[in-house]
Amino acid sequence: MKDIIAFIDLLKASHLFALCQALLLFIIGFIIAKLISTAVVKLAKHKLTAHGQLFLKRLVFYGLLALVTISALDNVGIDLSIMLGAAGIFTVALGFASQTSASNLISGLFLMIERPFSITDVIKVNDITGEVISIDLLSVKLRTFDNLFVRIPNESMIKSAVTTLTKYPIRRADLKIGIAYKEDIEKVRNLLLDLASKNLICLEEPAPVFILTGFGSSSIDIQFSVWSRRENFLALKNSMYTEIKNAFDQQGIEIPFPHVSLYAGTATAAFPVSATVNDNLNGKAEASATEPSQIEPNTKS
Amino acid sequence: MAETAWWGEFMFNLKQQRCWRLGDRSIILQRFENEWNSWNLESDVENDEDMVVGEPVEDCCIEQAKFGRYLQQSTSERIQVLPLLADRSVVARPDTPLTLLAGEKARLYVSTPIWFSAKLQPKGEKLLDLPFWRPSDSWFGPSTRIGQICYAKYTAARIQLTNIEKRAHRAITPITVINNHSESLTIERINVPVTLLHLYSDEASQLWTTGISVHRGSHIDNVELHLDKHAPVEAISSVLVSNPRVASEQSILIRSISSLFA
Repeated sequence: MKDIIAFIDLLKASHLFALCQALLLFIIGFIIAKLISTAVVKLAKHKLTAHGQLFLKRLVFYGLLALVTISALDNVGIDLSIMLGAAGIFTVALGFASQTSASNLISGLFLMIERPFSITDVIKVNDITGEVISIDLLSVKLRTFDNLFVRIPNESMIKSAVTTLTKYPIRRADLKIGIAYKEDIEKVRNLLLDLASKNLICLEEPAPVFILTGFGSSSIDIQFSVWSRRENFLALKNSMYTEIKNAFDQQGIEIPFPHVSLYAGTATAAFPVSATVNDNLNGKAEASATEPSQIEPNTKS
Repeated sequence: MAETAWWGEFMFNLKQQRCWRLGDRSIILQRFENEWNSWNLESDVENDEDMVVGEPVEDCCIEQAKFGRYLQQSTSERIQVLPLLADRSVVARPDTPLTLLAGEKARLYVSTPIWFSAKLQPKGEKLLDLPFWRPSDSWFGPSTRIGQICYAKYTAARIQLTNIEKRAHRAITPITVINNHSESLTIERINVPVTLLHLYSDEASQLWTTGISVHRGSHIDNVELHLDKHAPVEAISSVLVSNPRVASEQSILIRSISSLFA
């Protein structure tokens, strides 16, 4: 028994005991910080967005953790003023060593303050489009529509143009259509406007816009812009293109593909091109196609 | 216009079918022991025919209808069918833009589409909430950033009540606009907040909503929107049919002028 008491006294006298105490304090503090931050978010759940909830949770958690850490260090007997001085020098050294991380960290803070998008928004960065699932200090995490997880460093988010697709409730779909030169533009315009007015998910206001973008190499190019609620954007595009194709087919309006006309000499009649089928040649071609072993390979070329 | 109401409480025996039909447009309900089935047969063109309630007709094209199954441990035999106003505001447009001169007052009539709602009795669980003819989506607001999603199309604003066709699947909203401003008010489109309005039926089973009064003050940009507490005077011997989708305790609402008129 005396040995045990002597051992405890020894422990108390040594730094090990203070260290264990500090470690225990830190672990308990960590758990309490976690619990309190979760509880605070649960209390304020109905008043905040998903973005706000995450921000509040992190703020409470890291705030409490900082207090616990200071208390634990104090318990070990480390003077905080010296620590802060050392931290200053350490930060400079660390800053040089980890410029990228520091830049991401600062960018992350700016992103959180500026809030160009929130969690659950759909954004487009460079060529990546996806739903924001997390905004962290170092990076933003996206889930793309083919269900891939993409991590984008905050620094590149700050530097590049970010398009938030879900910022406003309505979106415009620009339909690119080409019609043959012989078609009556006014007839096509009325037909398109009629289709838009019959489509229930196409907004009546803002009104659809018909723009004649120019004379293309094979077609008169038209841009027909229609509006929809943002959740109906793809459905509207699909339904409008399908309806336009069907209506054009019914009305005999040609949607041209690239045409090439051959002319002999000046602006005269087109060079007559006719296809003739030679039975003998055709027969040979068939024979050579069916018997490849009879064809000698040209090894010289 | 049908003289008898197509709404109310209906009794369903086991395997009994009942159909609400407006020309080619049909909604059919059938009760089984553990489930309700519904068939929603839509048509493209809105028609003016009378509502017929009864057994489904033979050539009903039931296979083209959208089919729904609603499971219940034990189905009750009573069902409540109600007409409801649209679940969003409806934008109406006069044939030509109207200009209400300074200090003048006008009464407009707007006809808006009706939804078919079926609720199970006695608990009131929602079974169906369908428009007879879904209006087109629209946007109403001063810009593409600020505004609200509404319904448009199939609506018209008239100055003469006689110019509005009375139909079983439409309700009429009287709107009184009082312009006390020093400048005239041009009305190209009106945003009718139908989600806040009660629905009444008159002696001929024509549906009416609570009247609205819009007061434009002398110097302010905002307008006062007064929701009447009773059925409009045009609805003779009216009875309350259904309550608003969005309950509002206030009868006077302040709105910006751009949220009501364009």
